[in-house]
Amino acid sequence: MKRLLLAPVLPALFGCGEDFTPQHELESLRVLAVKKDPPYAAPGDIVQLSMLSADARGEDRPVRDHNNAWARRHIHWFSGCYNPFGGAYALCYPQLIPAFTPLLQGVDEPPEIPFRYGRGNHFALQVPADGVLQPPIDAQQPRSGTGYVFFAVCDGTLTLTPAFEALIEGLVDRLVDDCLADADPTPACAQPILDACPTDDDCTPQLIAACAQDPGVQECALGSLDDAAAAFEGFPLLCQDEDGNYLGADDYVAGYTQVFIYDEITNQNPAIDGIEFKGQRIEFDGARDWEDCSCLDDQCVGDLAADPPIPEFECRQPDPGNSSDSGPDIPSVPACEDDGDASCPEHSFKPVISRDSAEVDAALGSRIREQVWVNYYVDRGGLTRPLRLLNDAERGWSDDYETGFLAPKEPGRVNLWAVVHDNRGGTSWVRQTIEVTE
Amino acid sequence: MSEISLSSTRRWLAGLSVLSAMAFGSPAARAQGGADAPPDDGSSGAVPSGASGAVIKRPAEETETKQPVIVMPELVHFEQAAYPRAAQQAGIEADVTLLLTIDREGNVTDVEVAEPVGHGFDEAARAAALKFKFKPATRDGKPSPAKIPYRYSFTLRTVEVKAPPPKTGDLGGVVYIAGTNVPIVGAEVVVIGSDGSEQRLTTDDQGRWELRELAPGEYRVSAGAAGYQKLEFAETVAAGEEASVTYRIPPEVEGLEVVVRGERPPREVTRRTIERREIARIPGTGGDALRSIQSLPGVARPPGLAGLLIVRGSAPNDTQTFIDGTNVPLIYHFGGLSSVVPTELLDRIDFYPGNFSARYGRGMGGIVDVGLRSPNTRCNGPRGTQTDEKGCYHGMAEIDLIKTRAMLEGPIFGSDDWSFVIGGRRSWFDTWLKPVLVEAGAGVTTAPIYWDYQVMAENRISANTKWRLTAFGADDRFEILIEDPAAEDPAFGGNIRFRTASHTLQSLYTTELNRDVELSSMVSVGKQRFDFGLGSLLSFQIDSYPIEMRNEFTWKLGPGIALDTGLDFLVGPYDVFIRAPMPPRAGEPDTGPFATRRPMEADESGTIFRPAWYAEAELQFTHRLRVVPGLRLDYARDTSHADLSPRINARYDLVTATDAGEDEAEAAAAGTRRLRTTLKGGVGLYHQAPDFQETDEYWGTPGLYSNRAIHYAIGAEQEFSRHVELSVEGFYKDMTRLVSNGSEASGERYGNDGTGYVVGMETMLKYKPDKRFFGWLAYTLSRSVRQNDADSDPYLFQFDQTHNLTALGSYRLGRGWEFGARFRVVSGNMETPVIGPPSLPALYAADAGAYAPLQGELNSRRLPLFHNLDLRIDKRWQFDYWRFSTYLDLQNVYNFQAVEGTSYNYNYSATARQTGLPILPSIGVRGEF
Repeated sequence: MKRLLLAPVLPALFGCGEDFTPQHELESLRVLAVKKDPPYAAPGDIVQLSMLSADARGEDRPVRDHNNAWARRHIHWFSGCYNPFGGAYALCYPQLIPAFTPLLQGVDEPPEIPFRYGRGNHFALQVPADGVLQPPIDAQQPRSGTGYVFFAVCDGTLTLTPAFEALIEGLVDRLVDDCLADADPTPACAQPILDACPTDDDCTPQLIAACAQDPGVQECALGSLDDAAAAFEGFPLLCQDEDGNYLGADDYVAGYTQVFIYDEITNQNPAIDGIEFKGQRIEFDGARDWEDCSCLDDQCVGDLAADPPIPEFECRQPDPGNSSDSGPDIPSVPACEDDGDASCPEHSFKPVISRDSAEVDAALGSRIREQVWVNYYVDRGGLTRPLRLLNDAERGWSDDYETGFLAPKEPGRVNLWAVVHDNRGGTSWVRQTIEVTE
Repeated sequence: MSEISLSSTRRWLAGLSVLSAMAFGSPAARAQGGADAPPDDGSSGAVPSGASGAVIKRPAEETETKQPVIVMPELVHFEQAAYPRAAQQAGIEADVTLLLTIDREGNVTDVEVAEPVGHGFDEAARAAALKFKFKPATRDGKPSPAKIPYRYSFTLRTVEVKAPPPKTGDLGGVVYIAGTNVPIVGAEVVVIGSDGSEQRLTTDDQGRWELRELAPGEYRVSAGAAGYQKLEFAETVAAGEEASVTYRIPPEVEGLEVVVRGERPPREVTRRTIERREIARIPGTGGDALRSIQSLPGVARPPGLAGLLIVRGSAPNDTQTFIDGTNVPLIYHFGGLSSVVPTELLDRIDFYPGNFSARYGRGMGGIVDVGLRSPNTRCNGPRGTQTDEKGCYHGMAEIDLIKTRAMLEGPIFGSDDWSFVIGGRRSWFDTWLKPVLVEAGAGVTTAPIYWDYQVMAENRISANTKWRLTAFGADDRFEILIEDPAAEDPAFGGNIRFRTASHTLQSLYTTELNRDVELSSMVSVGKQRFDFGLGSLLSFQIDSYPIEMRNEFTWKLGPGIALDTGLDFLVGPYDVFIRAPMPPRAGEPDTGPFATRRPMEADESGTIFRPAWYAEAELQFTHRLRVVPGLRLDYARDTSHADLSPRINARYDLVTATDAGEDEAEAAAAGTRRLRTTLKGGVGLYHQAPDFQETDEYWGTPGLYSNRAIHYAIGAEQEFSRHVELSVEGFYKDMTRLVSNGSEASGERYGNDGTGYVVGMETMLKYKPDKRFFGWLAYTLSRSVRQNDADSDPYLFQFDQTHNLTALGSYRLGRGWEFGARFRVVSGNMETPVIGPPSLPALYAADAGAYAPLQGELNSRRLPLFHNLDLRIDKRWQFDYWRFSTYLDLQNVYNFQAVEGTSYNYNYSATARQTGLPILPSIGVRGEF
């Protein structure tokens, strides 16, 4: 009754809005998290990245939970952007041109470029050893840098926008005509390729990729494109189905993650110690995120030569007998006629997280700790309070961070995810399957 | 009746006694005196008279021989001298010392003037003295001649002329419009005697009335006219007197008149006046005077509940607001629900949308200068009438759904010179909003509360000198504990707090040093706080202690020439604490959710020092032409730059209301006043120093120059009747050196490369208040454009509103009922859309678990047209010594779903329109005495 009475008051105060599908209810292709190990890196470090993605549209869809075979075809990573002006990720695109070149038209099988372009659930980058740390604005703060890694999950074919492809073609012309051919001496990175195909566009990706690390070539080729690329609106990648139709947000997700770089300051991903469902601790083997790095079909990263070599992710086959994945240990709840509505009974769910996960933010002089929160997702049914704060930077920790699972109407398995974030790029996640019974 | 007349102090006997004592040392003689003084009947208006204080030297030989018994002559007949006419007219008085020779018969046989004084006094005194008659002096009992000194005094004095006591008196006078010398023709005057007899009469074409041969006594006189209040006065008629009284009757309004001037002539370009009757009755404003500004031409409609003043296409922070010359950071409480100064305390609102005087600086937009009125100590008569009697207290209390407030004013301890006002207001919607927020899932620490106060003590030192000490302040705050972070940006979880507070102690001294020089001196000390936090990672706190001084001299150098010059100082120590990621700049690509960005901290202290000097001349070259050139010099220590701002405004009457030297009020009364036609224009340079964060070495770029704008305006005013006036004005604002985003090449965060312009036209057709109706039609056509630098594309300003039409009116129905309506049609504001297909609308910021929108062209989409209708109904009950009123203010009568923005789903792939307030009634009641 109280809600009914208040219903006309709230819109009067805050205006009216549309009832959208909430973020925590999965209805299409979604990226739920990207984990970096470690979240804070030092110059020269190699950082491993893993993606948690899912599609709630059923078994007929090719991806549902980390099928790496699908991921190897449809998940793309782009790296190589550091410290864009003003911290604006949109100003990264000029720096990312070498990473985008594998997507140029006519390239049937995009080559993977170590630390620049990769495919699959996993990726790795190596932070440049030099020049990536910027002096602080405030002399009392440490030097720092930020690396940006972009990703695109496309349930189709990923292409460059025509406008951005034109930009790259301009870059190629300049690279070939001015930077390489007229260079004296020709950069070592380019000479073998120029010898083999000095004017053949087929060589472009390799050419750019090979010379991308050469500061002189970069300056020559990219300098003239900075303004045009900076003025570029939108994301330079599109997703098309096999008929050439552009796919929208239900089938195509692009995004970015940041790698914060310090000389000495470190950060760890939040530590998940277990799961509680309906107040009961569920047995947790500590490696529950094995799915996150399942390399079922291939290596997680490309096999191009790299120096230093890219470390392989520790992958293992799923164990059907594992109590946390299937079988009788899967908790069950009855279906709800109201199909996940707030009127359904709540079943509490939360990851068990160590308080140590809320680290001191050393960059701010130990005055505050990290802000830590958890995003909950569900592919059927509903959730109450799907976004909870674990640690407030000033007020501290709260143990009250559970969500309430609201069962769907139809029986069957339901996936619940808990993704724990800290505000310094730390991320961890866990998934729990729930059996919904008649 | 009294008049100046001659009089003499008849102290001659006393003088003789002294003379005798001095001359002869006789105790007996010293005991003489005081006998037979000539009577002073006082019947004469010019009565010269006698003498005193004679000085004589005692004959030495007599004292050295035997000691005879000597009795001095005694005056038995006094003759009044004629007061010399010239001396009388010149107001000259004199003492003439004579030497009288008296024979044995007591006759004055000779008179010598011992000490001549001229002016005819010597002759007059001598002539009179020759006619004196004495009782002769005796020597050992025998009459004896004598020679004595005598001082004849001529003095002026006021004497009552005793006329036969008259039996009746007269009573009459003139009736004017309050605050003017404009007579009210046909006003009804009712004179009621103590015996209940009643006489009615109407004023003539000069506003005069007269009743003759009234019986002495007390009378009650009421004066009123259609459209004006009926006032009652107590008058006393004395027999033989003619009492002449002047009554000034205000129009049918409540309380004092508040004037809002669009631009105050002659120092600015144009003039618009709104009386308080209009302000208090404009629908949709809740009777708040300052909110009524938003219905004037040139003022854009702020979105939703934003309490912003957007003037002629300028950013809200380009417009400055003052209370009696002291800058106040915010003039409106939360969401513009009400202003921080109650309407009842306003004396005037000067609103300058552009081309404002050199008196004002540090702003490129408009100026709102609010003047507080003096405390009211006048007494009320029965049934709402006002009297001239002073020394009374007044108060009011009001309550509506949002707030409650009260005010009390009157003399301090019954003093005629000292008076006070104390008032305050507090919102109380926290009592019902808090449960709403709690129900919505928020842990409410402090529900939204605002309050303000005003305390004033005024000393009217003289008719031309006034000193006032005022404390005023306002406080807005709320604090909500959001237990769950916001899905759009999880960094915003935790405490959400907002507080603005401003407290000021102000001394205001105004005086006329002489007939040609006026001085106004204002000094204020304040404490201001702005505290804003979204969670623990976004926090902004600033405490400042501004000290402001403004001293202005006005010299009337000659006919048609006046010079205004002043000093305008701002010294502001401040403490700032900021914890936030580096904020994006205007027009910059989105930097993603705050949760993905590292917070930075700054804890700084400093002092802003911004002195300014200005001078302005008011030149009335002819009866038609008035030109006001001005110059202002500003310095900002925080930027180390000085700015010189020359300005000039002019008005020219194509058709003047009156002839040269003719009083406009008298002309109006005589029916000879013409319908005025005026051309007007102005051009001026305006500077505004960069905002604090823009020059901060940590967050901004030190050394930036001030933003600069040139205001151009040209227009005309035409009167069509006594009540109808049309004003049309075109304006152009050329903005250069705007603080803009720095380029990557420069490496600076900000630069001075921004430009922009605002061009438009304002039209106002106004019907000035008459007995029943007032209203206006205001239309503004404008375009406001900005450009980040020469290489970037220009874009429309966020609050660019091409069309803005306001029509409003209010009509008195009678019996205390009044009905008003306001209708507005305004172009929608601009917004930046997210980019459309085939591009994705947003990127997933994985570290935040939220999406970052991919924004399209800046301010490239205009929201739909806004229109709405507001109504207001007032009802007033007047009792003997107090008044009760209530109102219903109905906003958005037909519940138009005004689009105020666009809302998006979590990944920006679905959109919906955000709509503004639905139909919103507001009811209030009010009592006052």
